[in-house]
Amino acid sequence: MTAPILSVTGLEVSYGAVAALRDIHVEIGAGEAVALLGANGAGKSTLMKAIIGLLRPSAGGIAFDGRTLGAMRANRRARLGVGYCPEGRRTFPGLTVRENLLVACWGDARIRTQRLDAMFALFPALAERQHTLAWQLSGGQQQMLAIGRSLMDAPRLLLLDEPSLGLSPRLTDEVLDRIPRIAAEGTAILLAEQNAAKALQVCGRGIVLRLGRIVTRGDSRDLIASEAVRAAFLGG
Amino acid sequence: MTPWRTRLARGGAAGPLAVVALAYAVLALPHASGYAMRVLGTAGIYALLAIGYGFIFGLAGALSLAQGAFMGIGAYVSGILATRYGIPFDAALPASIGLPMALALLVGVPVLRLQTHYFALATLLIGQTALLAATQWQSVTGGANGMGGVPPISLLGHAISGRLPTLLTIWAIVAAGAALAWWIGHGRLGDAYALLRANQAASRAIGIDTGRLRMVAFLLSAGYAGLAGSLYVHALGVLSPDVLGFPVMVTCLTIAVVGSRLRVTGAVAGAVLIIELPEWARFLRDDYMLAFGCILLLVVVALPGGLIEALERLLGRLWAPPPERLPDPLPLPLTRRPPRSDRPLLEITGLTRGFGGVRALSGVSLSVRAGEVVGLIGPNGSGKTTLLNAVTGIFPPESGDIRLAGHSIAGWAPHRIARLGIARGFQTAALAPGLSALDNVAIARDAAGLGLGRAVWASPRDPAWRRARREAMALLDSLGAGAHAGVLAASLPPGIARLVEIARALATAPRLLLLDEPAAGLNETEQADLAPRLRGLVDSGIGLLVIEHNMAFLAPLADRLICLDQGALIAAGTPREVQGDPRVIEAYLGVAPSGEDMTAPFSVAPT
Amino acid sequence: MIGLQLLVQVLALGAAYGLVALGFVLILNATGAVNFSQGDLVMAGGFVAVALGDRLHLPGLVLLPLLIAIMAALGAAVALVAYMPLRARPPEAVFISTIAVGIILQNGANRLFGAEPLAAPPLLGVGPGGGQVRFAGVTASVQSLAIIAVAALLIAALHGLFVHTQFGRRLRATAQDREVAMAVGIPVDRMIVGTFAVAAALAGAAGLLLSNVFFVVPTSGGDYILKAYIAVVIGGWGSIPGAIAGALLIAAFEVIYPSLPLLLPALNALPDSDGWFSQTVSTVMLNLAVLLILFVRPRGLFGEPIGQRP
Repeated sequence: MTAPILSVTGLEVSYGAVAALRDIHVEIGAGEAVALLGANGAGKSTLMKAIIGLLRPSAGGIAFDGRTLGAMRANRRARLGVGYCPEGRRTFPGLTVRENLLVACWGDARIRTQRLDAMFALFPALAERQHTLAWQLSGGQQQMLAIGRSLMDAPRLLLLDEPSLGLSPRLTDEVLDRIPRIAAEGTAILLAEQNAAKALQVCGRGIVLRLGRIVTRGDSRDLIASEAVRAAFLGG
Repeated sequence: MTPWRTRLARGGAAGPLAVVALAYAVLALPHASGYAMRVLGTAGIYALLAIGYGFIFGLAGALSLAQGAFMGIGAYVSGILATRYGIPFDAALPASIGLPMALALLVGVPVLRLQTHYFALATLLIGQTALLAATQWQSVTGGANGMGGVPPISLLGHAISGRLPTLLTIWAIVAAGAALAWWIGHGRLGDAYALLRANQAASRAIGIDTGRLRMVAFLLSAGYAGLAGSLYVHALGVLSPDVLGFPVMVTCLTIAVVGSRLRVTGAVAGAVLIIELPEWARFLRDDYMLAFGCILLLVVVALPGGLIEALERLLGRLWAPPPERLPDPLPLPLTRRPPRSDRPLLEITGLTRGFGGVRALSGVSLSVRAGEVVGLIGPNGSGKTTLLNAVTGIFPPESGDIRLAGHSIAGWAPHRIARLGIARGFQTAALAPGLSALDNVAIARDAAGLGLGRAVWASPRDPAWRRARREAMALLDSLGAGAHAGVLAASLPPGIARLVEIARALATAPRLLLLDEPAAGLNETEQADLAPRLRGLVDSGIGLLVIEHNMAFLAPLADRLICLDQGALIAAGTPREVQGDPRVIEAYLGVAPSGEDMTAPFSVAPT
Repeated sequence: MIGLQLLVQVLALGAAYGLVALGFVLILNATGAVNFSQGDLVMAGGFVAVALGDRLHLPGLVLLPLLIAIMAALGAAVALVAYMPLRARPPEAVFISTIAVGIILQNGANRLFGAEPLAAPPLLGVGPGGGQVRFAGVTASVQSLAIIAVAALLIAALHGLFVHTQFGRRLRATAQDREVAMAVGIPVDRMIVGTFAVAAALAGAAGLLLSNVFFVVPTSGGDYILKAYIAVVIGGWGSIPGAIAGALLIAAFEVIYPSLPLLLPALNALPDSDGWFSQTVSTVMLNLAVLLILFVRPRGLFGEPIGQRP
């Protein structure tokens, strides 16, 4: 088996005295789509921020494609191949759709054009609004833009933090249905979601967090019916 | 530890510095030259200016750039009245102190509420306008050349001339001003300002009128500056537009930053340091402004709290005072159980509010009765916190009404709503980090009664304050946080901080309590501890509306649940009903792949 | 025709103020902080231009690239000393640190050049002023026209930079959301230092242009920063076109107000009309007008640029 693209070992992240994440072990292989589930405050965003480097762990390590990330800064991790789509969309509000996508692409002009075309094929709604300012887009469109932006540098690992936040069920379907396609092209995906059912539908396996710890993991099929998932949400 | 050492340690750097000052006065002063005394006198005047600046810049935390202008205006008023109308220093004081204060009032009303950068600009413009007016209005002010022949300071008909008497008079006034400033800044008012700086929303939520507090600070700073200006012009004997120049403001700012903006001692020590600096380092004499610039930059970057604070931290390490004795708890008088009335305590009807094209709330209606716990649930972004913000007055609704016990409160200011009886906790515990848990709670006892008058006349032994602290102690005990009462808020573990915040909310003796995720950050033991305490409070007559994601905590506690999704109410009923409601489950978990919906709470795996 | 004459004056003054305001708003956008030394950077640019002119005896236009390079280096230094260490602190800290930098620049200039007003070399030609031009009944100095042209060119170049280059787009992205900019690979710290460099370069150009017409003294900076600050406030805090519009408005006020007796001869009948329409009173009136705007419409005449959610 090829080496995993992401390897998190014994990760611990603390905010001051509080441990937001404890004893986290995760492995994701190339082209795998993994769902990261858990209620609000379970630690999903914290884990993602630690992987992209916006938060410093207090213990444990993260390795990307065999390479220990250590204290590497976020922008270097991004250039290495980690894409990140933060919670709450966070497009650059004063840039157009086109500009939002371009700033994230570090190839030459030819590659930029190529990627732009690919992105517009993936999200036709964005193609229609290339020159609209991002803050004027609807929630769903902003979400698609944010995801597109995180793909522009052809990352090998894509971190998606709650892309369905604030989206209607129909839009959620539209957005998340594209994930298998993205994974099929070789990009590993870690999808953090409160919307467990949909997430498990589009991902092959899942990891369930509760109060900063992993309580269950396994194949999507098994998790969908399991008690643990339900408990992790509606049971507290 | 012996008492005198304790008292000395509590006074911070004031003790050692006072000793140094006394030594100087006794040993060096009698032999000082006239010039040296004049410089020391100038230092005293700047000390007074900086002490005044400490109100707006330190206590209220607002960057005002008009302090120099206020001093200049005081100087001009006193100087003109003396040279043209023969009015002596003391008789002119109502004008030389009053006019800057009047200007501060006039400008402060619209400008203080603005954000930092707008406020700074407005104060800059005042300064520049004052300077231009002084240089142009030649007939009155003597124009760019100013006026000479300003008589010396005179008190009650006696002119104070000669270097030593002038110096002593100035410093006597400084001492009085420092004592007053220290008096005002310590005790309840100082604590209220600390909370205002830390979190404005939280201070409004306990009934503090933040606008008024800031205005009081601005007025005090202007008054002190006016006094400093009039002392300056009489001590100097000459009136010149230099006193309105920006270098005065820069010097004041440097003194405040170097001396620690929150310390009266710092203002005094900083003034002496900065003004004497060009004397001690002769080569700096011509470039003293350049030196000030470098010092200011260095201190801002390296020692943000200022020198005096750094000194106190050092002394604190050498000389740790014993922990304060905690007061005996005094339980709050019980709220009378309200008569059974049909009217709910809180009534929200058709609440609608949007932000920049997003419907945050659409026609939400709900009610909370006294003695009832209503839980508010819903996925992220569904509008729960927005609802709380609307009820507490952070913004007005676009349409719909909010009534507390029948009174419509829609559109009221937050501190008025708080005083009416609504208290809230925030998602992140909004405590003043530099105050103890006990003091954080004690401020909320009768916060509406905070004012300058009381602060000046009451002493730190004010019986009302002592009772407030005892009541705060009881509140902390009732929530299980009593053991941490003396700990600084910044060092509290998050679970305890949350409890302290709830105690603070309760300290306002509310009729309705709003809590935003109180169980977040609490471990399971703490959660199990909190729920029955909240139940107990509610049983004594308060209404409770609580936002929570943690169902294990909320479901047993709540009498009713209300679920929001994308700004609209989608379900209401008992916890069991709502938890089983298919729309709620869909909102949280989504609909499962094969059309199987996850309504049944304990279903079997699909095939 | 007097209207056109005044227009040229307004454009020339507005162009120079616009360059100052532009540098100010760039740093504001990139860091959220007020650079209080922006005006003193303009003054420094003026003095550097004077020094270069003294040594090299070349027209201003030729000196401009060298001046821009020197000022960019100075801007980077200011970023490293007064901004980077204070990144995590409330914006007020940078306000104060840049006030300090301004004081240092001002007094440094005093030390090096003295307090006498000095003139930077004109844009075209060497030696004082380049003569006059007549068109459409308007007499304008070559310098004024050159100022308008250079400023327009620089603003266009900046626009081109921002809209058509990856670097410019990334600069804007950094200004709008620093954390996400990091996450898409943008080296945010370098971008910020770069922004300071660009802002200082603009200040240098403004200094060169202004110091020829208005002479430069160490205290010139104070007036420029106030103008830039006002321009950005009335134009909408953070808006780049707003800053330029604000600068033009200020220039218009400063040119037209003292000329009101010329435009409306009836005003001459007022007592002490000379006093009422002097430059100083003009400034006082401007300040009062701005205070009024702050009271009534603090978000600026055109509102703040990006749609914000509270």
